Amino acid sequence: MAQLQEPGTDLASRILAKVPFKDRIIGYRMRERIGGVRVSMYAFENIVVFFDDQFPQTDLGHLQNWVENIMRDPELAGMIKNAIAEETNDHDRTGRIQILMRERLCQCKKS
Amino acid sequence: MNGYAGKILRVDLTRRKISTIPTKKYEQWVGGHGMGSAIFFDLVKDKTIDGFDPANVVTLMTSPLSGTLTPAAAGRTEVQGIGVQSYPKGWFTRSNFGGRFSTQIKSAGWDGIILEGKADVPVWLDVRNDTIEIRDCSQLSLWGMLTRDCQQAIWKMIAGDKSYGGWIEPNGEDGGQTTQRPAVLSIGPAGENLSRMACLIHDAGNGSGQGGFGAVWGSKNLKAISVIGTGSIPINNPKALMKARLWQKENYQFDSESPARRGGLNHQSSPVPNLGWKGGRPREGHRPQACAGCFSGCRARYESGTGNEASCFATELYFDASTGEIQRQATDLVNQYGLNAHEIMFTSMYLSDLNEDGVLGPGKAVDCPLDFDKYGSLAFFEQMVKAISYRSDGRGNKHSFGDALAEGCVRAAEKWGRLDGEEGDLKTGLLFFPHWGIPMHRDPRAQLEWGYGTILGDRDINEHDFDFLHWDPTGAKRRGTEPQVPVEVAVKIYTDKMVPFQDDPLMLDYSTENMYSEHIAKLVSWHRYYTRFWKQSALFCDWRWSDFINIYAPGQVGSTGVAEPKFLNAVTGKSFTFLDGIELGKKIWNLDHSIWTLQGRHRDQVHFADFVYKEPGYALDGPNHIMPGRKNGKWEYIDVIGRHLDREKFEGFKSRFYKLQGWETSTGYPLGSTLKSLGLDFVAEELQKNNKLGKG
Repeated sequence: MAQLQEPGTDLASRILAKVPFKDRIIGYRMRERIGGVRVSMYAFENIVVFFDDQFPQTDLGHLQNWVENIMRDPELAGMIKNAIAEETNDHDRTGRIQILMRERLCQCKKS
Repeated sequence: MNGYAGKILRVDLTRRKISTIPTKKYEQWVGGHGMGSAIFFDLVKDKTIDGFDPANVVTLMTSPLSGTLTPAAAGRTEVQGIGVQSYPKGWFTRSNFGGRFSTQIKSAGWDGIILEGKADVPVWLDVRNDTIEIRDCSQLSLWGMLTRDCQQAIWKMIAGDKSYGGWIEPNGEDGGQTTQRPAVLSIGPAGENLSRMACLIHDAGNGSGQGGFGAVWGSKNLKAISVIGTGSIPINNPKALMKARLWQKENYQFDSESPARRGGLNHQSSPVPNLGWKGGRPREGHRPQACAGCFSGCRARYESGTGNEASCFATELYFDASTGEIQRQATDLVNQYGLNAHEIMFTSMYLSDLNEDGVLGPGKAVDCPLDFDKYGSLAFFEQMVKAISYRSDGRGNKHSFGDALAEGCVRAAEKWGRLDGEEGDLKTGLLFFPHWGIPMHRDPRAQLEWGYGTILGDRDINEHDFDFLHWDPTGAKRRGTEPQVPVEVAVKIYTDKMVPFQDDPLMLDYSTENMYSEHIAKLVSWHRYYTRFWKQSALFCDWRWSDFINIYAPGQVGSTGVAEPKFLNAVTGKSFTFLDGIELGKKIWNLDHSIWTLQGRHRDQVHFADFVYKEPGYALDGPNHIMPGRKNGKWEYIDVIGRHLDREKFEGFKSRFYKLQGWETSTGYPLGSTLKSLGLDFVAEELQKNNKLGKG
């Protein structure tokens, strides 16, 4: 189910590279007893894996900006924006965003 | 004295002298923490000493419920003394662990063990009923051993080669028989090398984690305590106890036949292991494993033996591991080296961030021998554990990195200059340790009773009594569903049980407008009193108690308030009410606070790390955190994250809290009138002698 256009080489290299410390994405793994455990993510792929967690939480608006400004991927950022607006809860939002990000990651790995 | 063995074992390691104290002397405190604090107060004349001082006294106390069939209460042991983990000062503190140690203490004829002094060479304590020996470690080469090896060596010496379940006679032919094996509490290499992250380990996975008591034992040259007994515990009314247990089971316990009525927390929880390993429960043979007397196995033992008896932080701690199997092995490593999983978890994440920031690594500003290219592997984790345990590079060579980290993560950061300046790591929050140098557990900006209780006390409180009010609506919001319990109902069920403050529902208003109020001061007070007595003195387990909201019960009203005294009275024959316990909890809380005051605590020291007070910023914000609160006078489940504490307003809260306690608001020192009204005249006298008694 291809939703995204094939990325160029520059975009693919950014998606597959690590970001510097200041550009990391922060998320939280929510646990009933442990609480919210902070996770620092330094690569696009880290976020895709993070969304596999049983209760992942991150500021999705911030993620959208990160994809747009740090990854410089306006197409994906736009789709994330739509997912945030159209889904009614965080579970469904993160699920849909993960599918999009995973697709982009696969494209970049193939290119 | 039903429920008691009648005597407390006193061990002077310096003089190798064994003596006893009649339990009767401390019976007014009932057991556990209350007794431990009172004993500590009496035996430690100079409360200003450091935790590593040989004069520090460590108590291991049981309760009347230990070793009985009281559900989720029989297997806990309370550990107290001056700790070495908290920063900047090691406060008089507590820890608590499960298993079967407390049961064996009682079966051996003791209500607790007091440790004093420092042995001249490494020793272990061998308790077999009334026969007590302080033995040199050299005989079994225990010093240097991992905790599991240490326990096995002691089991072999005492039980011989008999298979598990076979009868043994620990005191010889005339001394009684048991099918049990000695319950051993041991330190690992981390404790021997005085790492402030060191803990005490019993069996495979019971850890007395907080406080750094592993290092305190190491400083006393004490490797292990082994206890085995063949006696039993007198119960006042065994029939009433069994009836109470069945009443609790039939009305409040998880019902596997009614899976539609699934619960979330505490007594209604399903009896399955609570694991954080990737992939969940390992796909190999395993069985639930429970503490002595507990109905609910919240841990497991596995065919391979890897990760046995682990739960909670100990299973989650190496989340960046490449696989769940590596996580399990990491769990075993911290238990075998005797390290506090909570602090190790946050330390490894902090190190990773520093490495990504380019300041930590071989030859970097923070010279670190760990190879971060292998972050996520077992080899990386093992090297880190060894570095902290041996104060080394993790490969057998002394190293400043391991030496610094063994002092605890915040002290290491201080040594590395990471706390300095406006961008210091406790100011930015990169070092996610909000209170007393102890890692985040619940965000103090959100779950107020937890954070405030921690900073007004001595350690991460780790008490989950109000979690239902957070977890139920937070999970529901994420899924887009309704919480199981409407907010007004939840608030009423909770507050109805919170005697003597039961008429004030605003205690559970977590809104920003209410977060510094006298109502919240009552909430924090009630929680301190409840846990100080019912959880830490009577020793009801935090994993299954309290029982406020219970979806199986009529009206969803749990058993807390009724159940706790029902069990205690069946065992002891006393006529203790729930409120009696709350009031005794208040007395114990005041005794503890007086000890901290004698240690040098002043209200000016009682503050969070700077990042907790900073303006909101996404990267430092906590996760979505829903709690009850009022908006425009109407109760709702509200999101309480995205806010930071206001320093001045929190100072105002402290004044309100101190006033409610009967403490001097300008210093936090207890007032003489308060202590006298609680029957703590002797404490007031000592505070007066030290010019620490509040005026007014």
